[in-house]
Amino acid sequence: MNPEIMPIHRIEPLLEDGMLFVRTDGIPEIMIKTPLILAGLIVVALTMPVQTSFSSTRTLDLIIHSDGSTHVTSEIDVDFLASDFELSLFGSSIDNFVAFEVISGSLLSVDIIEDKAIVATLGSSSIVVDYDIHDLISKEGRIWTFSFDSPSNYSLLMPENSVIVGMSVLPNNMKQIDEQIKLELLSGPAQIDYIFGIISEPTTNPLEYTLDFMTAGLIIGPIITVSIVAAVLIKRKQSKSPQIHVVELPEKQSESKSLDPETIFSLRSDLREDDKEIVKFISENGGKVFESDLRKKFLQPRTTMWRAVKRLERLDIVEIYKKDLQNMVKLRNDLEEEN
Amino acid sequence: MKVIASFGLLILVASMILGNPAFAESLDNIRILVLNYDDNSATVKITWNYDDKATNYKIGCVSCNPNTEKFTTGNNITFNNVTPFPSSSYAMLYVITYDSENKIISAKQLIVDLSQ
Repeated sequence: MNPEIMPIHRIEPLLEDGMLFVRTDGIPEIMIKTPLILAGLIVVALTMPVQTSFSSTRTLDLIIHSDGSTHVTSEIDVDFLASDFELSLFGSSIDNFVAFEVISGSLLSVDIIEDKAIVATLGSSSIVVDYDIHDLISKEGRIWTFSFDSPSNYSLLMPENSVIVGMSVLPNNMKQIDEQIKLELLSGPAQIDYIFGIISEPTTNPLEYTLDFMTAGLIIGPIITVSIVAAVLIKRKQSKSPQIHVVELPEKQSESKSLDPETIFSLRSDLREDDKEIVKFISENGGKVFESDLRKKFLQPRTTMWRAVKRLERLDIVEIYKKDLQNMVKLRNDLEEEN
Repeated sequence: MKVIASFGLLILVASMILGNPAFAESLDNIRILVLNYDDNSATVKITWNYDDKATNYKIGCVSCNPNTEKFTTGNNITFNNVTPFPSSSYAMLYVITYDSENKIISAKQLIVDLSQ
């Protein structure tokens, strides 16, 4: 206890005439010190909240994984004058904590103590923290529950194939990204129950959705059936076409009846020896060959062989016609009659 | 020829299976019909394919405040007072299929645009 403010009667007894005397030599000192102490305390009290409230969460994104963990990504504005920043985590089961500066992307050193992370910001004004947390999800039976009391607005990406079956708060916005639902939630406590199932496509028009599944089989099935039947019929027709060639056999027989080379040679006694060879070759091949076959057989250039067959044509020994865009050379069977 | 015929037969069988609800898995085919919508709430009729393994169905509305749910043993339900998310026309519902032992067979999330 400060002796200067102790009651005087304990130090000096009252005088006999009954007058009260008080020591005044310590009063000025007390009057100066007390306001200074009080002012110091007020300054300290005001400064502490200012320091802590200087940081602010710019973004907060949560991703729920199918194993029940939640990935937290948050961008935070911090005091660039402070060397450290104390971050309150959303639980104590933390994995894979990473903090880095936004501008440079350089990693920052971190000490995690329970549910606090001390980040060495080193003059950074904005940092990003990334970590996995296991305290936000619980499971009972097949129902998973996400419970979170957020200090700021945040986004929440649900796991793939999850089906939300209960929400304590309604989201500010909702999107479907492939098979995942992303919710924009406001600050405050929220609880979301979900199970794993199959998420349907967004049904912008329910009737179209019905048409896709129900009617597709009924429409496409008969079309495919008709197509198959048509294809089978066409194939059968194509397979029947060789029979037409069989019908042409009498023609081949008539071809076989074409004049034999000796008859031709007797009727055209002045025929050149190389032309006779051509006639023999044509006769041996059923009475008609392609001009290209003749060139291959006799190893003659195109012009030479063309002159030869044209010479035979002029002698009425062969006739030339187009078949499959090639010149077909055929022995005539009416040589004797014409002569 | 045989390959084409076999391929065609395969497609035919596949289309028959896909098109026939009797061969469909639980909640493969869901039809949603918005009967009326007055910008606040709607009546929604949901119909799904028959599944011989399923004995009970739970249908719920998550975008409704408070959340609501119904049970049925049939393959359709009419849901009244379905409300969309705030500032939106989209409602979020779900259907869960249970077997005779009350175990979940399958579940589907339904996001319905009530304005269409």
